[in-house]
Amino acid sequence: MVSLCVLCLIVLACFLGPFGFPFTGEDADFDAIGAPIDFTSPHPFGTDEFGRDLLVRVLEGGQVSLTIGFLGALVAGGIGVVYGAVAGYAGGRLDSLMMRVVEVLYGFPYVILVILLSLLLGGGNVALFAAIVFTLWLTPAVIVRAHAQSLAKREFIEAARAGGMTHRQIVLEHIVPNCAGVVIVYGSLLVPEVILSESFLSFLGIGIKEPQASWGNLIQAGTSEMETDLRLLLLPGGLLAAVLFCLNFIADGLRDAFDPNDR
Amino acid sequence: MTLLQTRNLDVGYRIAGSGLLSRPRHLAIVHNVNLSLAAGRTLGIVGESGCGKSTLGRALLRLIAPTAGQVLWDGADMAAMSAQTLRRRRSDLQIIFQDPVAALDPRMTLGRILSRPLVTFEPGLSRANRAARAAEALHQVGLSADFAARYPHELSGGQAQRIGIARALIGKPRLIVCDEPVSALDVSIQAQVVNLLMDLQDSMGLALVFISHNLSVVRHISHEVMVMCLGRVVEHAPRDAFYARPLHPYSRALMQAVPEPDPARERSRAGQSLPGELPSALNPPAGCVFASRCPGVQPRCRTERPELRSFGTRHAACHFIEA
Amino acid sequence: MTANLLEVRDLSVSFRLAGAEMTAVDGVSFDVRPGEVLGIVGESGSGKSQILFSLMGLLAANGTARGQAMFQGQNLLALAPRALDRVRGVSLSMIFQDPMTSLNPYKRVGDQLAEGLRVHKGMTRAVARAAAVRMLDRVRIPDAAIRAGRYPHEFSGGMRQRVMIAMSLLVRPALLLADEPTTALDVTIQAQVLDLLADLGREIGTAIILVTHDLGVVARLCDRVIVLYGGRIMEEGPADPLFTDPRHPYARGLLQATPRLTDPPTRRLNTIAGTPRSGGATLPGCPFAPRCPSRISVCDTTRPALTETGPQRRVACHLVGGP
Repeated sequence: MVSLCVLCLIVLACFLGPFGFPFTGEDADFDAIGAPIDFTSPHPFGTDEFGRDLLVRVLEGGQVSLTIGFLGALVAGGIGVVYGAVAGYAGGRLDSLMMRVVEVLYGFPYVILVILLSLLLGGGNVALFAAIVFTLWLTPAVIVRAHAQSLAKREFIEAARAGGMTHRQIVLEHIVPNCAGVVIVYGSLLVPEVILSESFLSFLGIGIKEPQASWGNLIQAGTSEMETDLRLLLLPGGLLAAVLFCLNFIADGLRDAFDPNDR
Repeated sequence: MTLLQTRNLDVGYRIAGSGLLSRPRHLAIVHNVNLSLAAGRTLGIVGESGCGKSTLGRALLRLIAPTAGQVLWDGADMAAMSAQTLRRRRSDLQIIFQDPVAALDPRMTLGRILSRPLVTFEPGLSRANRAARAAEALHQVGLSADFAARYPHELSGGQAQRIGIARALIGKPRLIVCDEPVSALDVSIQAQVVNLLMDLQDSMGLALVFISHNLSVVRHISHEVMVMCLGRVVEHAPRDAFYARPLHPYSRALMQAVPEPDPARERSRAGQSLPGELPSALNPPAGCVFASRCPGVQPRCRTERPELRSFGTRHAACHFIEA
Repeated sequence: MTANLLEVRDLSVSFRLAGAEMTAVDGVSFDVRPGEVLGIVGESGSGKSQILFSLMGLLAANGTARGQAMFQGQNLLALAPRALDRVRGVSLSMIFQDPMTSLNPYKRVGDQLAEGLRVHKGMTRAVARAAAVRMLDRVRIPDAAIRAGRYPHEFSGGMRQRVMIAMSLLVRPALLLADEPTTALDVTIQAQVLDLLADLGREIGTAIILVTHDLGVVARLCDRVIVLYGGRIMEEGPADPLFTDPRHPYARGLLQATPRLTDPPTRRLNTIAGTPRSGGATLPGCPFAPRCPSRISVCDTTRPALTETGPQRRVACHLVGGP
């Protein structure tokens, strides 16, 4: 519960916060380059070496990272659920085929796949997003498939067939909703995974490019300045860590709420 | 008026072969079943596990496709129906299951579970009409209308089975296949559910196929009885004649084995249990299916499979029956 | 008169569920004499299995057992785990309902059997193995020596249950607890297993407490019967008089609701109205009152005491007086 509140606060701050400042994260304030943390100044957390306000940059970076995170998890989860539900319910040859595809994709080294896809789709942020999602739907698909397989054998599915439902209707109305619990729990773990992916890629220099901020590239910049100016690293890093903590606790809570054993 | 008929019905499964390219094996579950059922009548199908009775029940509804033979509904071959026609026709042919709670989608309210089939069977109905039909079905099975808002996990076994029956009734069926419907229920609830089925049969002229391993329950509800062993019919007779004097040794063994709440009778039967076990369906024997356990087995039984012969209104598959 | 093997006094079992206390067994007292077979019969929610679990120390983590169970001079309910281990598997054994999950799938059957002997009786591997094979033979597993080297999944349900019986009787316990041992088995296999239990029990001199919902099974095997409802004893007595002349309305209703092959085939079965009570808060009066056809006003307010109504017969009902 607490995690939910903290997370909401962070999200709100990231999206609404920058409006509270008279400048954006890209405005360079040449009068205050490399300013230290000083809560009384117009730059409460100081500025970076270009004079851009750090707090605003971090908040704007949060917008990017969080959007990619939640949206990515949603899309990857969605694709995974449908894919897994169909494979698990169908069984037999179709299931084997679908799972072989998954296994082949698993075999590709992650970074290489992302770079390739990103280039194929024309570079840029949308391409990056698509590439990350493309590598991330595999695990939800496998998890949902296992669940769907056991569901497909249950009598209520047979009853649905006896009620004249088509296979498509059964998958959409019975299988997918009963996999929801599994997916939601896993989904809340997907969000940190996406954010970390993006951060990692940005850290490598392949992700979000400057001057646009994201937590990933902010952390990357901060790391290179680590010896001289720790706060460049601490602020984005700290927020990222906080979000990840919150999501993990939320995932735990969701798992308990959806656990069928408690029924 | 015959509603359902089968001719030389065979049902089997393909088991995946081991390895990616190996040929799948064929597992025959039901062999050569011939039956016919009229409105308002109950056929009891009895047998132990592995006899194929559940598979037969599903094949009757075409939930499983037969590997040979025909299933005729109202005189029409079900194999000749298009998928669309078959789906619509399912309102006439329904099924209730052994595990009543597992037969209900845990994420749906009972009202929705009951009204969903109507979306397929009578697509023109409005939501309000469907809800009214659901309430009517609840009433028919003796449950109050407020059950519509509940979820399956809130139900007892007996209540869940009533919901299963209500769902089967919603499309105004003419035949219901009951697959061990009371085996998972307490004795006092079994009696309630069996009575309910019989009441519904009387009021709606329903035909019932009652699959069970419990000979005593089958006796109350059935008009005729069919005994199956390893996928084959070994005896088929009108109810009273069957229970008065079962012809086939397996039928007799089944009746002997049913424990009754009568200590004197039970004591007199102690130690008379039939030894051995039936072979598995993967390895069917060459001769009579019951040869490995039959007290009256002869050499001929192991090599030559007995055909189902008629003895008046009765049929039995044994070489050594005197009428 | 020989001393009692087991004396249970005021056994109560309750579970903590979502903050509330749910009573499963409510003040049950009974004795078991050496070598006798006692049947505890009840429907779901009656608490019958929990009685066995509490004696064996197998209650779930959120369950507590109160009261006394004196066995060989010790109170089973108060024993520390170490001390209980010295009793379990040595003089107190248990067999369970589901033969599929009661055996370790990763160990060979012979090894599992021998384990008990080696751990509790300190036999060497060779001696224990030989004893195990002899026991498998005794429970009529064909080709016992070869089968001892096989894994559980290679056995059928009936055979696995016989292996379980072999395991539990191998150590020659004074008392065997059997929780619905034949419920999951086919009826002809059930008859075999019951006969086996009766024979072996007599041969070794083991007393058996058999928990079941099947009155026929009780009639077949048990010397004395306890009828349980809502966690309390409704009636208790020797099998013959109890079955022919049940005094408690619930016992009567249960016997009437059980269909028999020897019944005249009336169309409707006798029922008990309502649903079996399962746990929950303790009622002030008789737990069966809500469903009892003979209920009077005092039944709702005061618990009927278990009173002697004849030689070894006790009934808990306001309408049944003394001897």
